[in-house]
Amino acid sequence: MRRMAAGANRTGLIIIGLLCLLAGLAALAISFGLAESVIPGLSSDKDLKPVAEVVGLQFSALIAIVAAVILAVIAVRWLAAQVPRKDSAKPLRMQQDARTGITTVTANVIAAAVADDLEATPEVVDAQVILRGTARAPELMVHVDVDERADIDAVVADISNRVTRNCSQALGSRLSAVGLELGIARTHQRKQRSVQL
Amino acid sequence: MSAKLLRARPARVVPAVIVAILILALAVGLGWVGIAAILASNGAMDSALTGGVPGLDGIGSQQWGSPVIITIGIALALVGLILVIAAVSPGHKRLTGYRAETPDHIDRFEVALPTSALSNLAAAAADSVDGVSSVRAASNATSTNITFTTPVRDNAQIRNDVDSAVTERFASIAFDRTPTVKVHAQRRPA
Repeated sequence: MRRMAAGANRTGLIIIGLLCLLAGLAALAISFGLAESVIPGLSSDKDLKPVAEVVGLQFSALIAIVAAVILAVIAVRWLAAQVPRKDSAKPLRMQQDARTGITTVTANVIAAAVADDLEATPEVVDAQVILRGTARAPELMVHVDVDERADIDAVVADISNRVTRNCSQALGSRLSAVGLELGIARTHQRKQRSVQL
Repeated sequence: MSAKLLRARPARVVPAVIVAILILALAVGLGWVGIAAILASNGAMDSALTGGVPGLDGIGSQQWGSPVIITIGIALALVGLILVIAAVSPGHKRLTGYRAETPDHIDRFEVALPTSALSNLAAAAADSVDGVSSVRAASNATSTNITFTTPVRDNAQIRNDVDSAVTERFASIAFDRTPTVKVHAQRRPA
């Protein structure tokens, strides 16, 4: 339903993972004396003076602050990207010719109407709808919670033949894509069925 | 083939949040050390990092072969490997495909049930069998494990009934691949 930053997460993890892996392997290679054949003199009994000299250089404090700001911006943007996005459609422009008047509909209005229409199906307990795309190529993302004893095939047929058709007629165009996720709402049967005598 | 409408694989939010927080912590640490170094030298912009944190000089006396460096190297390599595996492996599928006919007013129609829906369906079907006192169900995209408790000692018949109830329930739904069902019974005296 809502979009997550799956691509960004996996790309970010691969970059950070490879950097950590390479840094770790390089440190181990030097520590076990394997790097000596590549860089002569870099044996395991050498100290880390060349590394320490970097932090002793002039302007290194300023460079550290700049690096800290860049890293902080990357980290905050990455964290902010984790908030699931609805990515609803921009207000739909329904008019043929703007000179004769403008008709716009916000995506949430259509989504709420479709959700109400879905809940008219008796087996549907709860419905969430997101409308994406444009007025000419609308996409519907639907999540419905269905009663545990409902006939799933009948619910899907009702949604595909009635609800989405109503939506398509209301928008005046074919739906370019419909994604339907079916959840099952558990009801406590025994409590419902028990009768006090 | 265009991307699926419904996301079936995990988005790796938890490792991403952990790594992002670690990067943020690193940034705060680095910034703090840098500012401390500049303040220590009375605001001189060309000051070195070692001015702020005296301990930084100690890095130079470490040897590459020392246990500390080897431990850090192993830890870094392991963390890197775990992150790369988390990024590359697709992860568990959380959706089971459903075979739906695409009506003529829709170009692309995708229907799927999350694994939690499979578990709930199976638990509801098992709950309707006589003799069952409680049910737990766990599912992945292709199979469902049901564990029910019953006070009955000889529960082979109930197990068969639960198995057929759940299998029938699944068979009545047009899955791409009908999930397999495994039933375990636990006797618990009432």
